[in-house]
Amino acid sequence: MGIIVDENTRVVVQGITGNAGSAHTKTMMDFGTKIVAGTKPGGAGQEVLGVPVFNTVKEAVEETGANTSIMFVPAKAAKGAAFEAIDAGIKTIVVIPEHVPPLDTIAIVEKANRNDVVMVGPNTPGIITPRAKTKVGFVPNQYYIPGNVGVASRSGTLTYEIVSRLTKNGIGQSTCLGVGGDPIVGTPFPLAARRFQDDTDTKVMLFVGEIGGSQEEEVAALVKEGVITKPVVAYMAGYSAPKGKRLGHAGALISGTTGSMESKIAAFASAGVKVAKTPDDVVSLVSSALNHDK
Amino acid sequence: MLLKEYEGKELLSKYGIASPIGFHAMNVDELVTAFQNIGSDAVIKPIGMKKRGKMGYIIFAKTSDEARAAGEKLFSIDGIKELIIEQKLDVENEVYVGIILDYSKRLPVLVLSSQGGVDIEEMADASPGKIKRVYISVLDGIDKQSLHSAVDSLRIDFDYSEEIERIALQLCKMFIENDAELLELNPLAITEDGRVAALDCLLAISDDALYRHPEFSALANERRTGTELEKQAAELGWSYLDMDGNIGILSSGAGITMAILDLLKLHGGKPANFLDTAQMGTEEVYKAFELMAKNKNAKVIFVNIFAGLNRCDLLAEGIKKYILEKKPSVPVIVRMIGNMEDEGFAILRSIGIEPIKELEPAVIKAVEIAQG
Repeated sequence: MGIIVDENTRVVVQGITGNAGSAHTKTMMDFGTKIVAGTKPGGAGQEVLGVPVFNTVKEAVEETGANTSIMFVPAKAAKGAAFEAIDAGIKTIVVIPEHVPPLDTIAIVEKANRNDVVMVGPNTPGIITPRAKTKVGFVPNQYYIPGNVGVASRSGTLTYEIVSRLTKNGIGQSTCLGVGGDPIVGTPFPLAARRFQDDTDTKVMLFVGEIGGSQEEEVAALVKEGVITKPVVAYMAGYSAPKGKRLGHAGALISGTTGSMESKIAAFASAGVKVAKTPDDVVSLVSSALNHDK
Repeated sequence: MLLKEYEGKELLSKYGIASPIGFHAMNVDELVTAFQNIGSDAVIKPIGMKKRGKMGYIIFAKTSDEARAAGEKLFSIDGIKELIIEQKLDVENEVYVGIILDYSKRLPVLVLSSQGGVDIEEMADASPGKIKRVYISVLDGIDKQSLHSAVDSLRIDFDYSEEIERIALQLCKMFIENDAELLELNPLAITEDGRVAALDCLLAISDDALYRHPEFSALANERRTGTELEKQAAELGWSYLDMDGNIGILSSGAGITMAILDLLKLHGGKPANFLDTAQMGTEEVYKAFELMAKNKNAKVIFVNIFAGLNRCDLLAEGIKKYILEKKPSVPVIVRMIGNMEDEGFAILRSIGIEPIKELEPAVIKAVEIAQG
């Protein structure tokens, strides 16, 4: 039920004593997430919101059975924190920080793959499975309700904008995954699509993409090859983006023709995937995809 | 950040990879002096210019006068500010060696081709068989056996293939140790007297890794491009762009900001500038307005507030403070939705602004005012 995080998720918060770490620990707990531990080097013995703090992830895992880690650490500490979590036997890592050096991200991806660890991020608002009342991230709780749309997005703020519209129209979500705004992430769209395909709660997939990279084209290829058979809807931002200028996400930079909106639209069109032109259009496309499915 | 050709070559020499003796010049006199140091046959080329060979901007000089003439010609061309002058080598063969990040495979990849000095992307399309790829593990380095087979398959004279293999290994080391995103020797030349040297070097360092390479980050600061306002915003950690339309856009988050630009275009509007503050609070909104107002082309300022994690009332306070203190003549359209929405609406109404809840109608309103 849902992908990557569910009711079996037991979370350790790396960096729980920091401002962001403690604030978002609260909103995760408010949503119902089982936060079982936090870590802070030298912080053992403290408690944050009743959650025990340990010096290391290893101790946290041994004492609490944590299986998922979320990292509220600076970008330069991301690789060390992720390696620590993987070495401690954590099976799902959510790497929050932005501006992680690409070679650090690649090192984490490699190590995660070798250890069968699912990695989300970096530069992600996290992941939320409403039916399991589990959020590992910092998306605003109030916009998410249980349902059958699997959402994967490269942008946090754009996701809230779109998911809030779905929710307002009574369309719930199986899992909403913020894949992260960087060019290299742990669970990019094609991997998310495969997971949604296997998830019994997901009936329709929604990809909120943007210019840059080839994640959208790769999903389109999976649909075309018949690997993905569930209905897919896409929305993408960046029609009007000036070429070669970075608008915010490192992943949204076009160089040459790679990653252009034209290429993505053409790929989805050839796979028969409907592309919403505006956030409002998403609701009607998703809703008709859900109805077709019934 | 992209390093200059001679900076890349300096770094190459630290990794034991040769390039021709050379100098760089900012004007004709410097160029002539550099030519005299080289003594005879030299090649002169502009720095940081794509397709310079095809444009006829790579010039050979045998005498000081020829060097001077080349300098006068090149410096008179728009966009050429700096030249590189190097000893001309007698080239027997040229190959391509480069490392790029493969975003899809999520690994660096070493790319080799028996044909150098060409556009590698064009060649990948035209004759893919001439290109060999070897993926590099960031954790373990490159697999030496795979590298050996790849170099072998290029069918280069054995005397040189060993040296090319050594250079490729050193490039992998250089790429990872310096947090490169792109490192390209195009071409890597084999000379008639049996040397292997890089005739060009393209090296880009990841911006996000500059903090651990102080020598490059100093250069990056010196070379920061963009308008004055773009630089000011960058210092605050905000993403800001000046554009050529007449609607100012203030928003928070890269994705939604792009989506707003798209909606604007869809409804016939053009942005004067946009500011994406990573996170907003009362003070940030105020400061953001101050920065936006410095661009005088905006006929209307559009503010998008989606308070999922923050609060509408706090952001409305920031807008109120700015408007009461600075009394801007440019109208402000506010789209506002989220936490403490009613309180935020009340604050804005108290200063005569009627906020709009829905995104698209708010964008349309801004476009109407701008066109009005």
